Amino acid sequence: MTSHPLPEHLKKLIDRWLDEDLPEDEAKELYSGLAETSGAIGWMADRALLHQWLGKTTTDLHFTKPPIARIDESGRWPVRSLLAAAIVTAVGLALLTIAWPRSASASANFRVQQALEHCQPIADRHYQVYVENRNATRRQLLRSRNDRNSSTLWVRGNQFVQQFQHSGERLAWGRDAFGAVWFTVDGATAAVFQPNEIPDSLEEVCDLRSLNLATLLETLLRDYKLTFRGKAHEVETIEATVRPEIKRSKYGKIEIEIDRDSSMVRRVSMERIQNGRIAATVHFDWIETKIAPNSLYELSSYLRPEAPIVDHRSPRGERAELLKRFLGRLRVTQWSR
Amino acid sequence: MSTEEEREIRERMTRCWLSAEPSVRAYIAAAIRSSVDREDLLQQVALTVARRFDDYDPSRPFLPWVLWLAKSRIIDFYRTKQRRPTLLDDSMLRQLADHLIDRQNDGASRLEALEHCLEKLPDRSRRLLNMRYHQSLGIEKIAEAIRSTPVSVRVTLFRIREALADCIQRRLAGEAER
Repeated sequence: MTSHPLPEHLKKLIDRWLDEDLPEDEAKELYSGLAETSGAIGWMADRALLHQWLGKTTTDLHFTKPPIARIDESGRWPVRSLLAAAIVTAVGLALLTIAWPRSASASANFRVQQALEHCQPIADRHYQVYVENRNATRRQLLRSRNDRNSSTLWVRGNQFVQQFQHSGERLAWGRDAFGAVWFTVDGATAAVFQPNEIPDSLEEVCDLRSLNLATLLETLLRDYKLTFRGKAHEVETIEATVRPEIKRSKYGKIEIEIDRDSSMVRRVSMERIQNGRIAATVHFDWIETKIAPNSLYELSSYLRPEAPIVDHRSPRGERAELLKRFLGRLRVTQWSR
Repeated sequence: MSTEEEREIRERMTRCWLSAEPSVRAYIAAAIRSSVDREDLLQQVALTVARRFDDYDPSRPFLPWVLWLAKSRIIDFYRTKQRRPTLLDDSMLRQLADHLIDRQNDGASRLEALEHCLEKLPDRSRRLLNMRYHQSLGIEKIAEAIRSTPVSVRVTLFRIREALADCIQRRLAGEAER
């Protein structure tokens, strides 16, 4: 994605080729441009990679708007959308896997592959979340306060909603289908940040406390060494450690529990890395998977009718002040198990 | 070969393929016009990898090997269609592969930067990307859906991608300075 000083017309021809939108006669013009312009092939390679990554990130992480979220009259997920999501990841895996006989006792990698195949249909998952702070002083302080409230998390692709209690207040926050992040205290005050307005501090906690299972499992298969840590009657525990050749990772050590029969991931514990250090260990305990209404992820479902919503149109500084107080409450609800 | 050895090879192959797949897809997309043909070729390459994985020397990087296999499949494809190379000749295919191989080292950082940059996009831009990549709609269909013209959709998508490429560069440059 390096910016080469390439004529804009040539760049547009390349984009149209990759979009399957370039007629035969203009393809000849593109061929000449590629052959005669220095740096054109490199730019095309970068652009082709961007197209691939956009296909992957928009499938995995974003825009889980109606075509995916809506349920048809029979109560089933629309097959076409789910198939598209599955194909992106599964085509290579499926082709490669069929070339080899499957053995009766699965390896750690194979179990994670099965879990990935199992979790492709993007249903709503419900978790209990524990955040274990790595700062010993803070941990001690929280123990002494006996502040051990738990929180629950619903996740659908990149959307999430988390609810918890803090000092008698009911807090909820989440990301809706359009990527806006919102929070509310007792349904009485609320603030919303559109995708292009989300400050880094808020984005960091979203990243820390939410869980996109499909993305995580793909990361494990690609960048981690997986070993069995224990096999109980019903579940298998797999420990994942970052491969030495991976220079940067959002996660440190990860442990997952996979149901032996259904290949469903029942528990995830992960070290979250920020600025090169372990910021916290987050534990997600699966409660249930079901089809939840779209409104679950919308701010309006948690607001009192008369409650004001603070957004970019509100007086300067008001939203930032609310966010500061909200993040303060969020940090206080981290504790040791 | 024991079952344990087979399993290890299968795992290594899967891991190699997962890390190389975006580059292989990009390579084929740059060389082949139709998305149906692109998918067919990708499957052929995956099958070739599975059949010939014994030939792969694990002490060497995987991506150059798989792109070399892909190049052969692309040239076969041109030949069976009895056309001159529709876009890229042999030298261009080699340059393209070299560039993708250079890019593989910082692929994870770029992908992470892209995820960050996508979050910063305005809602309308995200919707357009959603239609193009998630719903796999062509330019004409997107234009119909949003009651616009194909020319306008092309220009808008081009600008969004330029903005994303620029954002990724700035973010990576910022990280390098830290």
